[in-house]
Amino acid sequence: MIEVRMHGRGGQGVVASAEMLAVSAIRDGKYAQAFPSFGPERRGAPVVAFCRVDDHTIITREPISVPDVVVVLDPTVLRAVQATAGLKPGGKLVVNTCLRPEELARDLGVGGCTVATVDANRIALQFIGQAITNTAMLGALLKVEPVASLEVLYGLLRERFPAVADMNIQALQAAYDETSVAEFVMGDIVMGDKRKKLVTDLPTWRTIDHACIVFEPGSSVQYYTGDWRSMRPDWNSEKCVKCGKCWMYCPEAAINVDEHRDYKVDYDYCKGCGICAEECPYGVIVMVEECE
Amino acid sequence: MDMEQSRQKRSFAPRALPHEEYFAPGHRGCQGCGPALAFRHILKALGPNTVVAEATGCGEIISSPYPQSSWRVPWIHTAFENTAATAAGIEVAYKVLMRKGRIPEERINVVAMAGDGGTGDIGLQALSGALERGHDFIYVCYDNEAYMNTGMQRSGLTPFGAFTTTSPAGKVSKGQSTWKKDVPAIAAAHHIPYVATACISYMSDLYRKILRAAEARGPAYLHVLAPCPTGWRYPSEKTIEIGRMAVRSGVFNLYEIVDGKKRLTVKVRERLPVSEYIKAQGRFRHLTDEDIAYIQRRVYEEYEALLAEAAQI
Repeated sequence: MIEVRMHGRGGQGVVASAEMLAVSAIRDGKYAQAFPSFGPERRGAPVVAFCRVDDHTIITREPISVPDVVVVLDPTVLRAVQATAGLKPGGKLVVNTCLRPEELARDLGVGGCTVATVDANRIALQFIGQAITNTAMLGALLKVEPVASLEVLYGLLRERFPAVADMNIQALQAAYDETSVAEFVMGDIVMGDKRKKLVTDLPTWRTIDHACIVFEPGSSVQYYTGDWRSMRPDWNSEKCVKCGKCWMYCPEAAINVDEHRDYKVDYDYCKGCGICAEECPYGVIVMVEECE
Repeated sequence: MDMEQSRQKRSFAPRALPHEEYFAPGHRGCQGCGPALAFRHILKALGPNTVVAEATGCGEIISSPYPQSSWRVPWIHTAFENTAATAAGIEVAYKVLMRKGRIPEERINVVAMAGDGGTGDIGLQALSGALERGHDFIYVCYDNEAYMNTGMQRSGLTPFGAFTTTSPAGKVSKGQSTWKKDVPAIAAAHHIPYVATACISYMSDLYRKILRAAEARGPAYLHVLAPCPTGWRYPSEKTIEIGRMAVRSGVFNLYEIVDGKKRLTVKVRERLPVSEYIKAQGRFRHLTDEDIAYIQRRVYEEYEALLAEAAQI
């Protein structure tokens, strides 16, 4: 059995890609299942989707905690969740990033697994026009782990999304061709930052308090929504007239005023919605790509 | 820029607003969430002496994912159908405790909060009951025009023509087939001291109305339009702009009813064509020019009727 866990963000098609993978595998004559796991969050929040493929009936319905393959659809999600948690020794890590596998492995400190990288954002923007990376990342996944055949997946895409199938197939093929793979025999797979938790690590019914009472007011500050951001507001303080509109219109309360009455973004919480940049009357704030 | 906006600009300084945050960051609202912004400012205006009862809905799920909470005031989650009843119970309990001398006499703002579905559909009878009994509380409806937390299902307050998953756009259906339910008018029909509509894009107007609602002795109903980028299908940075367009096109009018007297608080001199508001949102993408013309006609008639009504008093 091959178990694939996919990490991405709400709105990127993580759930759809896991499902398409499973359906393609079924059409190839295999047994497969796919299902997602996410909290109440919607667009921008980390999402996990699972896909199992086997030659026999699959009985388990549990979330995948020890995957063979981990696919990361969004480079910024690596900061938000422990994507490598539970990855089997010798497993495969497929990441959407502009880094080479060696660079990524060094950055993450991983070893003992295969690392594959592809710049799916660029491919998606080139062929689809939007940074929706799910089909490109399916291409990268199929290169390192042929869980389904490309032809069947193409057929499925044409059937499900006739209007946008061609551009998605081009993106998928390009990612398949461009994915670079490297194997790291030495070292251990690291579990990532302990502060960040997987969606599946929430308290169970045995450990929760009675009536789910929360005793600490405003405790959501422990949750860093800054991880959701793909665009970042950049300040040019010289032009700022300190009118406070950015602060007033921020839905996150992520803009603070310091003792000099200067407005500063708290990047721990800023989700990068862009309202401050849009509403600033003097063009002080501009939105820039997060990785720049 | 119209007259009202320029007047607002002169007399209103955002930086003079209270700096205490009672709605903590780290909440799970989508990027550009309109309701989250509404909660933040409603609490700023009301201050720490506030108790909130909130119905199931977007506001509840984004602010209270166990084991965390974004609220820095006492807050209770209630079911969809009994938000107003819960708030009424809280108000009465405080009244009795004060009368018996168990707690000092002071003004406590009891707030019931619910989305448009929790107010206009499921919670309507509890709301009506609480308004009719005359409890001293503020009911805030944050209106994002559908059941957004479960993935965009239509509510009674979804506007005509809007696409939702349960009012789909296709060969047979043109999205929502009914006109938006006029819940403020239903609230006003209870002859309560204060009813108002507000929008997060008109912040000075919103603050003034929250404070008036808090001052009112008896029930106050506040209907806040809070655009939703995820459900309305527009880029997240446009939340404020979309709210402004809703008001400037006359789709959503800002007025207050004080002791039965209706008054427009934001008069728009040069109205935007409704088509500009509609074309900015993906949920109306399927509408034809005739559909838009129909909406324009009806919006115009309603606005004129509102003007006439407001002028009579």
